[in-house]
Amino acid sequence: MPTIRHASRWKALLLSGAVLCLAFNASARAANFESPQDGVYADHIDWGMTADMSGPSSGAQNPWGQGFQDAVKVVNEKGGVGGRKINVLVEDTRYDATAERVAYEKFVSQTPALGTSGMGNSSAQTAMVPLIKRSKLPVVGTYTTAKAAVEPPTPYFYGGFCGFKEMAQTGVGFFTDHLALKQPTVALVHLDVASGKEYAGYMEAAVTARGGTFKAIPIKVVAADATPQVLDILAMKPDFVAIHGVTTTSILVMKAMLQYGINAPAFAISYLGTPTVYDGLGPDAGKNYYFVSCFSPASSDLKVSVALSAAADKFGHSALKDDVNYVAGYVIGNMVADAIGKAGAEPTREKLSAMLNTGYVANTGGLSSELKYTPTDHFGLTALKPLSFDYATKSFKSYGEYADFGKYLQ
Amino acid sequence: MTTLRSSVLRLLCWAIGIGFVLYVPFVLNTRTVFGYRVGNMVLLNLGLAQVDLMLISIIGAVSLNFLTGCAGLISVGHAAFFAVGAMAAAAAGQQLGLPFAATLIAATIAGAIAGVIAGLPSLRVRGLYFVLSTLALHFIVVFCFAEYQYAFHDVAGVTMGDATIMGFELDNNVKWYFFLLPFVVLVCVMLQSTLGLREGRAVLAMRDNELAAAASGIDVRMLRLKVFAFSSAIASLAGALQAYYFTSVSAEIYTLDTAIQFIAMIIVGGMGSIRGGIAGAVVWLLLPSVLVGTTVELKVLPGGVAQFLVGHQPQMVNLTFGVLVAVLLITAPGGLAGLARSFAARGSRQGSGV
Repeated sequence: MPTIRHASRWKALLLSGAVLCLAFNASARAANFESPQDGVYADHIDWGMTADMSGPSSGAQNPWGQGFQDAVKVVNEKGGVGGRKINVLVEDTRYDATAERVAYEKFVSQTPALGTSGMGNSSAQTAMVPLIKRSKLPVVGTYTTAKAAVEPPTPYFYGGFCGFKEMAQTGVGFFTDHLALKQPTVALVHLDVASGKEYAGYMEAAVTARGGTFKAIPIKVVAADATPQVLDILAMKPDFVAIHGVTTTSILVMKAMLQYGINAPAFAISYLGTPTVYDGLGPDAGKNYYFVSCFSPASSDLKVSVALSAAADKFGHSALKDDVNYVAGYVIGNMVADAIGKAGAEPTREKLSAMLNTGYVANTGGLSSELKYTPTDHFGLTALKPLSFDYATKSFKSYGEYADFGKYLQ
Repeated sequence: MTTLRSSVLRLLCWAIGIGFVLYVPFVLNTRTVFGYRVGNMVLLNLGLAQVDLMLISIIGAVSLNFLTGCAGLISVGHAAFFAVGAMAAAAAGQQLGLPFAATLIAATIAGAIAGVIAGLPSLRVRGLYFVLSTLALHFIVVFCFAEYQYAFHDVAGVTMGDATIMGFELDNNVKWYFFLLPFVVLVCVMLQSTLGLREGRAVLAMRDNELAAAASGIDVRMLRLKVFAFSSAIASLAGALQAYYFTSVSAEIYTLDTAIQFIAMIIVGGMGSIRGGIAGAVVWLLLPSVLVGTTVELKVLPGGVAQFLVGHQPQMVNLTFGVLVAVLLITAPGGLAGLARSFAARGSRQGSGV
């Protein structure tokens, strides 16, 4: 009898030993998994990031890049993703389509990356759609989203910023209701570039859908004076004004409106909701200046921005935490780390894309509206909310939750 | 015996050069040399896409060098000629449905016509006034392209058709390289040969002394228009090739910055020399990438230095590039071609024992 018991004990011991060996082998294989052609190594993962860091839109895209890198630094300090650190390969593309293409191709095979983020040039995105489909390197979380890349959804392309159509619909809807207008009269000052034309189209559709009157007034990127545009606004007497442009566009238009005594409120696109613009405007012109955004500046909701503020302070970017561009970069950095984790212990480009394509919802901790991808929607963020700046408390103020403004989106 | 040895040596150099040019795309594409994988910095952080775009830029740079360096007509409208080529290719390929080869011919003809129009002010004005007229041309062409794009295509850009020649589709960088390389060689040989012809010598004479050239029976007015047409036709061809390479183009990519970059290329390379145009385009387009790769490698440096480099990589690259170009222009005002000439002259002096 004792011999039988002894034999079964040995069997159990051998069995558990075998199970342990298998488990150890499996975990060791996962930890040692490498796929250099996908930028995945035993101890780190290479991830590409392109942004305009020294070109015409560097004022907005630089904070985005800093936010992205700060988020990744925090993830790495906590041990990385699945034991691997994320190594961000940064490329300055100077808002140049050629440089954007070269950088993308670099991440495909030269210094292979698991994916890439940024790509803040819609002309380059449009041109690169066939290349992205062919190269199969996922672009996850873009700084701007070209219509051609997401309508219909391009495999391996996932947006990461509020869209112009949604900005127009939310802004027009909010101000029409807020000012209790039946048929709004709206003037839009926009840059005479492709994105300005696109935004003007969306604005016109949003205003005419409400039976209103609309006028698009172009302005040059390098304009040093907005008097002609403001004289047009003065003649039209709009209920509210919309602004598309760069930082100086907002400052020039709002200051000229103040000079000519136009007291109508104005709302700008998300990119122009920065402390720099409000500092440049000052309280007199700034009190009428709003913007619509799918990202929340830190001071607009202190509860949800604790981690962001800590990261910004730690890495010397305290001045940027109220910049929606920095917040956007921070959100996308965290989303990338989360998505890599969800792609499994042995991540590859194919697995990452497959995971995002089957349906993915990012936990942005309230710093943005819902960020999700479905097989039919690669846009990412849709809901926006209006915000403005309170000069008395030196903080941003939001006019509700993201969900409150979903009704304006068509 | 010495002549035979130097001939053999020259032949060997040519063979090595041709072998290198034919093998380099495969190395850059596969990142291997004879089957052995090599590090990124061994290949100077360069990729084949960069080389393809550089080949297109070489065509643009040598054509500008012919106009500015050889004929003495300073122009800041070269990006506009690229835009004309792209616009003509879009109209011929997308709207008229012409095949790829025919669109390239259409772009070249459109470029020549645009060149004649751009050259007309040169019959009346000189110097800075003429430069201003080419600047105006730039803005007019870009405006026309933008309006054409918004009216007939998408605001985001003009989608180009497939670049296919006799069923052979240019769908990867290696194919593009072997398609572009003969173009570059052909254009450079053509421009170099032109300078040796009667017309070419007349162009150089016009640059050196216009009055003397006119006195010797050269119709400088007609010659100016011919040079403009020739140069802009080549630039437009490059513009059409670039548009097809990108698969989609937008009026926004033809900025004044692009035009100034072409001028910088020929200054760095050496004005008035076709080789200078090539060297300038190579340095201007590839050196920044080498510098980026170098700063990435320097991240292994201790503490603060590495952190500074990581945080200011673009600024450091731009600063280093700017300093290198400034040093080059101070030490070699004739550009890289001038530097090569002075080295060659020094070498021959030492060889002859002078």
